[in-house]
Amino acid sequence: MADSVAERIIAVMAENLQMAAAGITPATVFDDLEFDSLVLVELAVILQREFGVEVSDDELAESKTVGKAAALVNERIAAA
Amino acid sequence: MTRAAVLSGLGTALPPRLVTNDELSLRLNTSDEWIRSRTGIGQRYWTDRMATSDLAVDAGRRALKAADTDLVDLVVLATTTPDHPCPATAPDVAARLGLGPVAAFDVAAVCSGFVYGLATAAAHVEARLAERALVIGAETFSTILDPGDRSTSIIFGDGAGAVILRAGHDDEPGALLESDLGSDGSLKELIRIPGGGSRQRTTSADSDLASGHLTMDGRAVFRHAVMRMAESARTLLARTGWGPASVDCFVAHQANVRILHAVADQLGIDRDRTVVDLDRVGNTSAASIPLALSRAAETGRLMPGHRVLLSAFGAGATWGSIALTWPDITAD
Repeated sequence: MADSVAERIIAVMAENLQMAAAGITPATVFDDLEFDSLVLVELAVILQREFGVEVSDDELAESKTVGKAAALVNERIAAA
Repeated sequence: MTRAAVLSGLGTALPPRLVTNDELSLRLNTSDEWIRSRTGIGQRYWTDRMATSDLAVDAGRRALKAADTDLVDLVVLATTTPDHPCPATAPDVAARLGLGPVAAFDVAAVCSGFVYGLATAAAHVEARLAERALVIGAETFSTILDPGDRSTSIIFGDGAGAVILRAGHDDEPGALLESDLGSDGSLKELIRIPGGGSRQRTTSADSDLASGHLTMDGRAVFRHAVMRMAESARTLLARTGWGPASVDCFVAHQANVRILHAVADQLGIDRDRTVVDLDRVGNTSAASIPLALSRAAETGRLMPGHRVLLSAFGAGATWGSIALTWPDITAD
C-alpha cells in the first residue's frame, strides 16, 4: 500500500506539473517543485477519493517530501 | 408518464463593460498568465449602472421570448446581490416584465442559487402549484468585491441567466428528472460578507463584522466544492441510472476550471463533456449555469435529448445537482 500511495502522489504531481513522473521520487521535496497552492488541494481531493482518508493540503505541505506525505496517508489508512 | 417540469426557454444578459485580466493586472499584483493558470478565467463583465434587477429583467425577457410566452405564475430569482436588503428583488422583476400578481421570491443560496431555484420551481410545477415558472439567476458581484482583494477580484463577474419551466411529462426532451440539494452551515465562514446583517447589528463593535465586502477562503472552498459537487452528482447518477459515460453534457457552477476538471475526474465524466464558460464571463455565481447552458446551446454542444447534469457549490455552504434532458429550443 505504501508504494501505491507514493506512486499515486507522483502521478498526480507529474500530471499537474506536466513533467515526467520519472523526475519525481519519494525523496523529492515539494518545495523543489514549482507549483501553485492549488496543486496540493487537488492532490488532497484525489487521495481522499481513492484511499478514503482525509488529509489536508496543509498537512501534505508540512510533510515536505513525497515519501513523507505517502507515509502520512498510509498512517491514516491504517488508523481508519 | 409522470408530470414533470420541462425547460422551454433560455435567455441571458451581460453588462456592457468588459474587464480583461490585463486591466486587473494594472492595479493588482497579478497577470493574465497567473489568472488563467490558476482559474481558467480570461475576462469578465462588470456592471456600471445596471443593478441586479436590470440584468434579471433583461435575461427574463429573453427567456420569455425564447419560450414564446408572456404567462408565468411563479418567478424565482436566485441572487446574492439583491437591489436592496429589503424587499426581495423578484417581485420588482415580475412587475417590470408585466407578469401580473404572480408568486415571486428570492433564493439566497449564492453560487448554488440557480440549482436551488430551479429545483424549487420544478417542485412547484410538479405539485401543480404552478403551470409555468420563470427562474432567474442574476448577480452583480462587482458591487460587493473589495477592490484590493486579488483573490476575489480576479474571479467574479456580473451577469444573468433565465429559464422558463412549463408543465409537461418526464419523457419529453427538456424534462427535469431528478434533483438533490444540500447544505452544511458549519462552513458558513468559507465565503461570506461579514457585515451588514443582524449579526453585526447585535454585536458590539467587532471589526471582523464591519466589512461589507465578500471574503473567501479559496483553498478550502476548492476542496469542499469538489467533494460536495461530486457526491451530489453521483447521487443523481445513481437515481437516474445514468453511467458517467452516458452524460452528454456536464454543466457545473463556473468557479474555477480546475474545480470543473477535478469534479469531472472524480465522477469519471470525460473532461471534454464538461462545459467551460468562465474563460468568457468569470464566476457569475447564481448566473453561471444558465450562462454556460446558453453558450453550450449556441455552440452546438447541447442537442435535443442530450442527458445533462447540472451541479453547483456555493457559500452557506450549499450545493445541489439536477439531471435533465435537453429540449429542442434556441437560446436568446
